[in-house]
Amino acid sequence: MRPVGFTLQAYRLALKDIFDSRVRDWMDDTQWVSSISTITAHRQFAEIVNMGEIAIPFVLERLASGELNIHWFPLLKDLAHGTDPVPPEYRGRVRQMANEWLAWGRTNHFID
Amino acid sequence: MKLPDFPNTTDHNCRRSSAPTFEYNCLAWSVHRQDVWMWPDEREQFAWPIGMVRGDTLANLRSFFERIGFSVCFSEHLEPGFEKIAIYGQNDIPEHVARQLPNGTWTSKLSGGIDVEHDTLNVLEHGKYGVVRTIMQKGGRGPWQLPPLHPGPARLITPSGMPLVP
Repeated sequence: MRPVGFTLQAYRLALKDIFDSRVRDWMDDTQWVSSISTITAHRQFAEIVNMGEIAIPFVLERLASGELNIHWFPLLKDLAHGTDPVPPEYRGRVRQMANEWLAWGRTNHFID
Repeated sequence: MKLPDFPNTTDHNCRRSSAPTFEYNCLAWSVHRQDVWMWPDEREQFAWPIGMVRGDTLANLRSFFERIGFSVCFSEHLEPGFEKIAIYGQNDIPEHVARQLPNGTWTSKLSGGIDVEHDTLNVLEHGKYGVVRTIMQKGGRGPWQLPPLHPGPARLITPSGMPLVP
């Protein structure tokens, strides 16, 4: 439940600030890392996943703006409760993976 | 170039050799691929040979290189006629793979960032990648033939073996 007196827009902006801050810490600490285990073992990964589906549009907006960072893909899969719209033949193809997730986000009304 | 998370790097022993890109990672670059991100992640989001066990372990990476013809060796020094790779790790987690260049130096793709050429394996040790855990070699020079990395799209086949046309 959102606090009384907050507009929906203000509530969203406050959550986005929290998301951006956690992502900044996570990316700074794991920017050189290839191991997906190490990337997803970071404390901020768990904190962002704990934000739940409300964080999905924030991730998709970053992808849509051209931030083709592989960190987004395990994060999206966990935020979406294991859903993965990327067909097997596109595994590891970062641009195609981004396009599939963006299409999934539009179909499921997480982004316009 | 001095890299902040790698204490052994200096302006003299580590040189940038590409623009940053997320199109490929260290493992793909170690086998001369620049079009895919390869990793045995258990979420099954990145490329890995069909049928090979997934999981972020040194054993799984070693098995991959053995599958394409590499064998463990014990020297990082250049040996004519062989290409070498080195797997870095912390505990049992693989963190990075580097490939030896024909001049004896090493090339590394730094996650979703740049490629660097480094004089020795030690240059990238004791930072984010831990230490070198395995060195492997194969006769010849890549690019290497890789096993299929992705299952193809499902196809319906008739009893006679012909694809079923809708």
